[in-house]
Amino acid sequence: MNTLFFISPLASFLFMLLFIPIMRKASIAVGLVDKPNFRKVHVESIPLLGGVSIFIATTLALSLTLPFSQEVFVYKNTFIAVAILLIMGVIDDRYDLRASLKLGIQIILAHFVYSQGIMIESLHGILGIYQLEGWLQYVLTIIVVAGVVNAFNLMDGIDGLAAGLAILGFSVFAVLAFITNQPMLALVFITYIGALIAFLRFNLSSNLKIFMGDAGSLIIGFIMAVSGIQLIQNAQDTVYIFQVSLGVIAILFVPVFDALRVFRRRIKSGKSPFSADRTHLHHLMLTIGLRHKMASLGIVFMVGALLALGFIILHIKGITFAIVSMLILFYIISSLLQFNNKINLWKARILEMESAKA
Amino acid sequence: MIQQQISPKKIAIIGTVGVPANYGGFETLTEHLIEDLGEKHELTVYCSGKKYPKSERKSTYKGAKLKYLPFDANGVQSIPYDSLSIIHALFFADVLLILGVAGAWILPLVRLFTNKKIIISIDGVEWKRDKWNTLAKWYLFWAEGIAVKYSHIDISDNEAIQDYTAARYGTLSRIIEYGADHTLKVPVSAEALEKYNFLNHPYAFKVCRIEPENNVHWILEAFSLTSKMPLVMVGNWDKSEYGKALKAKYNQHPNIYILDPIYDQHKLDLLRSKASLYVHGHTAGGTNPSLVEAMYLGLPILAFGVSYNMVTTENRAQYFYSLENLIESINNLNMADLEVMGKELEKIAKRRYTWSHIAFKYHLLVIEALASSQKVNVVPKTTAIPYQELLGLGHAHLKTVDSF
Repeated sequence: MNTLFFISPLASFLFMLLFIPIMRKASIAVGLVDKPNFRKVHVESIPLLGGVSIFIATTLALSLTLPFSQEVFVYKNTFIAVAILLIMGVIDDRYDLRASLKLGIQIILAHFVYSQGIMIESLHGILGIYQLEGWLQYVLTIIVVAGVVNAFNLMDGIDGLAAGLAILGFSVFAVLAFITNQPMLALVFITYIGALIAFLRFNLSSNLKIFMGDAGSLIIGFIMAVSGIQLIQNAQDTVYIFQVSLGVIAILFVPVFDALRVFRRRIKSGKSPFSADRTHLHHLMLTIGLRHKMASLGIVFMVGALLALGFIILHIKGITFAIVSMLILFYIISSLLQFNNKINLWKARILEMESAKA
Repeated sequence: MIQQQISPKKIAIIGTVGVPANYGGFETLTEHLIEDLGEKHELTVYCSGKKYPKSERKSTYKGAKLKYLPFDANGVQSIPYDSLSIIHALFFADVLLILGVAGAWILPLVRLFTNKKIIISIDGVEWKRDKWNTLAKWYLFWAEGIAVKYSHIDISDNEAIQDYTAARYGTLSRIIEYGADHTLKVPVSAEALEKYNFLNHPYAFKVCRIEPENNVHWILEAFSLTSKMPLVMVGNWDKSEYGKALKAKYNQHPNIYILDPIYDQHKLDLLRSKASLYVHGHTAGGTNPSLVEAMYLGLPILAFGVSYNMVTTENRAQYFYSLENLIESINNLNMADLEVMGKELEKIAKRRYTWSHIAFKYHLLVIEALASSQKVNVVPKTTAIPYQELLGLGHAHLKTVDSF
């Protein structure tokens, strides 16, 4: 049993090493490549089938290692939802689907998740609120699942960021799964980590680069959202409920609040929240002058810092204070980065104005 | 009809090193302001105790009261220096004329709790300049925003900066430059001729702070590669590694005369009045006092082609954009053209850069500050009208304006 926890991730890791080089060639042949534009930060076309590879490698590894009868987070059914999302992601990567269509499918899948019994039942003391009303459980579940999926999708902007956040996220979830006595769930997370590490090896290289694409970031976001909700539900009547709740919230925090921050800013300037600009957290980190790897590391580190802060405050003052302090820390860091970005933008603009020949 | 006469007001001048003027543009400005404005209003000037030792301090100077604070007027100490001056002035002044944004953080409180009028000068675009470290740049960038938003009137010294504040804040800055008529065309004496033998032939002149921002290295390099005329450059060479290195490199060059700083106005004017060309390499700082002084003396000018210099000289000077450009320009100089240019620039300076004119503009600003409530908005009101309405009126093309 114990060896499974090493074999499974090793298996997914090795399968990735096997698949990726082939997937790269297949990508290019089919035209599933990411072309650069003003908003994106890369300069050449990069193959996009990384997400599919992660899914296939992990699924194969898990099908070998998981006991067949185990119903891990309603595994069989959610598996189908993830597969559907993956297919939608691949089609989106190739043909650029309408946003409303994508959102519609996400909401359907979120509804499906709810109907399988995975839902946000209670706020467990945040803001003093506990058990929620039936209709509120439904609405909140749909919003959170769809929201986290999209937030994660938006976070896939520089090399190593989405995968790095996912690795950190799955690690924390694995720990939470262990302490709530759900080793099989932990196994799923660890297996994904194996595949993600292999993915990073290619994503961060210069000659064998591959992206995970919308397919990858959508399914990772979906798995994280569903896992998170499931973890909290299973910990409901245990002593660990607050730790689990905080852990899940801390991990999903940064993508969601960064997206909200960017939407708010765009609306405030009178633009549509979906208009394209370079103001996400990873763009701001690049403005400081960091390279992609360092910027990704910086953001992963920030999530770690939020997690640490949250846990410390949790033990001193309870969960509401913990979340509020995480919000304050995030606000301070993002404000500083935003300010730095503003100065740099004006510096460039003034330079333009100064050299305009009369 | 702009009202030009009002009863005398109490005006506090804050943020300069102090008077008697011995340091820079703001200080010379203050000295002239107290001469001209002092006839119409009661002025108080805040001075830095660090630069005026107790034995030399006076309580009044040319009719203005002097107050001393134990801080430096520049650098990080400018923050308490300006802030405390502002607080002190609130107790007696009607109008606060603040030069520099170091104390701007306190202005929202001043607007909230008092009805004193605030005129603030934001200098050049200070936060961009290389002389500041990152933290200082951040503070100045932020403080500039506060200064513009919470003052009654903000002043810059160059039209190009007015463009910038319009783009960033949507309001109209006033422009007030510097005067140059304190400089004189000094005839060359026999002993000067003996001491400085370059005075016998055409030569190029430059006086400035020795900083990379002023392209000192380019100018020295260019003149070392030409024999058209020698260069005489006055500056504080020994104050920095940059300056010391340049001095060591070019001191012995036959075509270049490196002179240490000259604080005697008369002597400086003597050396530059006779120059055949003034070279101005400044890339920042709005309107540079040294440039307007050169114009007033009727010197032809070869300046770095940045928007500020072009605006100051009304596009009548000659401009260079790179080292190669500079060398080419020097080699292609035509003495007759230069003479014409010099006269044109002198006319511009006599029209715009005299202290009485500058002080009069300040006087009008004081009147405006006392009367005004809101700043002029540069964004046209039509941008607020919904598109459909404009379409119905047949004026939908107004929505395509995107200057602001």
